[in-house]
Amino acid sequence: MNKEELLGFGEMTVKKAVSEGADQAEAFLYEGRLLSISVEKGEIKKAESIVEKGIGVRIAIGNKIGFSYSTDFDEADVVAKRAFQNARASPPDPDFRSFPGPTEFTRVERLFDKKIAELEVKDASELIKEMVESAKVDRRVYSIGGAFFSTAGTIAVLNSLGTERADSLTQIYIYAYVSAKDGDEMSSGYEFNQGRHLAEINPKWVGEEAAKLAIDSLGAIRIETGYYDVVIDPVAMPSFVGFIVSSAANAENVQYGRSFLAGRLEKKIAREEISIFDDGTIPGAYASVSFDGEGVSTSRTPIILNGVLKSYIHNSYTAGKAGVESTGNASRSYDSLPSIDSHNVILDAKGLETKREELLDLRRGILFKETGDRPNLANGEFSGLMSSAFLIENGEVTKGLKEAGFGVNLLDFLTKIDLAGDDIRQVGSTISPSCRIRGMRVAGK
Amino acid sequence: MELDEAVSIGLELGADFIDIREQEILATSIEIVDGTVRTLSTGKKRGYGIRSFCKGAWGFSVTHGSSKGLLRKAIEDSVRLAKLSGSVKKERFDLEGRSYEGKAKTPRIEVPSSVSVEEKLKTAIEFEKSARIDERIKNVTVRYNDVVFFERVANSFGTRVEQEISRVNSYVFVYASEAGVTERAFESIGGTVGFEILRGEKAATMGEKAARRAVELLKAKSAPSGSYKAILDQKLAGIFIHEAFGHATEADSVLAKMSVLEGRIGEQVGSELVNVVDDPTLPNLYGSYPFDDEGTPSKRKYLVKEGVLIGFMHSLETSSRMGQECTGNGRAMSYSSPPMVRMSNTFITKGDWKFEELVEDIDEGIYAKGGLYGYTEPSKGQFMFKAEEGWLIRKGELVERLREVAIAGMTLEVLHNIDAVADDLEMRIGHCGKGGQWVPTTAGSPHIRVKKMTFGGLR
Repeated sequence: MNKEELLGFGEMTVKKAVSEGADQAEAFLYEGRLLSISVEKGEIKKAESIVEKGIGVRIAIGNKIGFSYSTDFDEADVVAKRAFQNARASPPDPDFRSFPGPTEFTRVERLFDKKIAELEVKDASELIKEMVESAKVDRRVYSIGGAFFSTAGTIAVLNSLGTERADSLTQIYIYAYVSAKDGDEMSSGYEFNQGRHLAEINPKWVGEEAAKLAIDSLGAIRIETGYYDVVIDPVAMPSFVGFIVSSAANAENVQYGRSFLAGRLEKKIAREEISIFDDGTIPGAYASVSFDGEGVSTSRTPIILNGVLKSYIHNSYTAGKAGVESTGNASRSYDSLPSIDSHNVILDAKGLETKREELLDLRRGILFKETGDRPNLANGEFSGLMSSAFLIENGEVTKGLKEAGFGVNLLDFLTKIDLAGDDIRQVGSTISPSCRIRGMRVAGK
Repeated sequence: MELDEAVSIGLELGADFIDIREQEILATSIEIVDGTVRTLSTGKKRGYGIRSFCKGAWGFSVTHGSSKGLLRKAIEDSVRLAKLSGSVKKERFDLEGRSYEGKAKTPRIEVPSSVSVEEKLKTAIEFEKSARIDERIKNVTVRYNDVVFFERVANSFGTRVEQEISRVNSYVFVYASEAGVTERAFESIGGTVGFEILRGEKAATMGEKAARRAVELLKAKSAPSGSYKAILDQKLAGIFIHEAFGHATEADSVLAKMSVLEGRIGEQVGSELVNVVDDPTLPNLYGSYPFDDEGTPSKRKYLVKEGVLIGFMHSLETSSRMGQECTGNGRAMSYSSPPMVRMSNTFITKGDWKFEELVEDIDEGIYAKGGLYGYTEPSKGQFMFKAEEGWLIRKGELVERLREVAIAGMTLEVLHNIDAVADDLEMRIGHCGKGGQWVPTTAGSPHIRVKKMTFGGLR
């Protein structure tokens, strides 16, 4: 379905809801296709073509809010009615101000690639075959897994205040997960590419790098417990920088007192050389969008500017409660109410930038590649396990590390960064270089 | 179109096997934050998931339309995708399975769809109030969810299964703070049941229980790091057995060579005190179901008996490939995802120790409790979990309360190091994520004692 058709359904629904007696009504519609191919043991295992679609309707009667959704656009008037009934049943929300009115129209370019929308499963299978072949670098490569995902979809958001936005978006993601085996010992390596355009994918590189990581992780050792200088790779940065914006600076978490960043606006919380931005407006970027889940135009929001906490990220509800403008960070699917999430998160540490080799120039340190862990939102304490890490000896990355636990507070992280690399990479939403932290607690044997 | 006809079309188009699932999902969710209703949502999803199999590879398509034309197109898509994958496949296999017929409805007294939203709201608001035990409680969130699934499954083996599954859950999350320190705790309840589960004592005291713990944690110290003798409580040991061990017994991960348990059936994988069971037939538990989403009847099975690995969990595919009996663990999040091998209610069975006896013998150790989340590396058999809280144990006594304890280690080492299993089995609800699909599960265990465990803390 194209933008106009979705807007048409939306408009009808909003009108219906208003005629039922709603003071304000909003419709969010999505229709898209997900194409995926998975690989197991080096061979294509399954291919999927999934249509996702639905409509969600939000109603306000005074400051009583109700919501309903359906996968069936033809039921739009039933959905409007159910949302209206839910609003009636709901007690008033004293913090609700209004759905957002129209914002200045801005359009972020290059978020849609026709090549992805029209991609045939055959073409996708060629990409993934190339990835698998290039992972066969060594006899110790034991098993190659991975997957390809692409989505192409259209979003429409409308409300009775005159907001009316629609756009089509594409995304693509490919990853390899390679295990290596040497004798009884096993290890694994993971690498990926992501983007909004087909051209951003390099299957050969993904396969080779995942295999290399798996092989390099063989012969992993346990390290003695102590304080180490740690270089955090961009791949681990979503758990640090990404988390700071999407969770800790999330206005909902702040307003409910769940976040360690509550009450710290205008306070210095990082080194002066550090700035962090939330930016939904970068043309072509993975986490850019022209408007958010409530139809508000996105923007570039300084979260930390020269070390000082400047802003949280908002949707219209938290913005209304705080008496500020929405930053355009409403996150949404058709079957849920708006929450808050970051767009592209950018760590800007230009004042500390140097070559990656200089970062690694440590007599004895650790290269921290990945963790499945996340920080404690309430106090910023971040402890857990490095799922992929390497020992650095005399400036060289030497051995893999196993069972290396780590502990650092995110506020310490922001003040203890002593150097940043020139290896900026986007991982999920986070765009960051490697950063070196002096003296991080690492637990081993 | 009847499902019989859909299956015939798939076979005519050249699929070696085809199954089709028709689902209607009715759901209500409520979120209350600090007394304000932030979400009151009701919705309906309806669609078909069509899976075809050709020469060892799968195609899957999803459609929402029930018109003959849309359904036919989705069947064609599914078979085309399977043929494309199958055409390049070197490792081929045939699917084998029995056919089942049946109709089932999970037991419930009050079907959630028959209870008014006003009543559901009132109950959730009561939960929120019960957590307000003193002024240190800063933030209380209550979530309520119910869902009724109507499902029909038909496949080309002749399976024709219909079931109606009703599930209810509720969570209370509490943040307490005092003198600049903030701590959190949560409690949950849920089951494959009706609304009646929220009318009991356990539901009514959930908020207060979480609140008391959050307040007590305000005085807790950071956990030490290093290697200690450890006791894990039911919740944490349950998470351990689900995440670190259970996933490794899912036959798809074994076949993908992503399991540390590959080739170890019949081997001693843990101490003789350890028995592990997966049982979707237990009445009312959150991970229970009459049939899996491939139409296979559910059954109870031992994964580990007296420390010996007995078997893996299977779907139609993995049982065919490994020549073993299908265990009825093929589950999908909804019609829009294909079934995968998944756990149901997975637990360590009870032993004969008393909790006090576990503590008595420890000179210096840590008692780790609750679980916030976890992470595993299945091919390495490595794990990390974040426990909600803990206690320092000295000379057989719990002496000091600890906050946020991280445990890490090698799964099989830990299973071998279990030297005592208590008699106090408890089960907790969870939502297990795998391959982007979330399914309801429970995980459980009695208190267990581990001779040596790695703790990663801040001090």
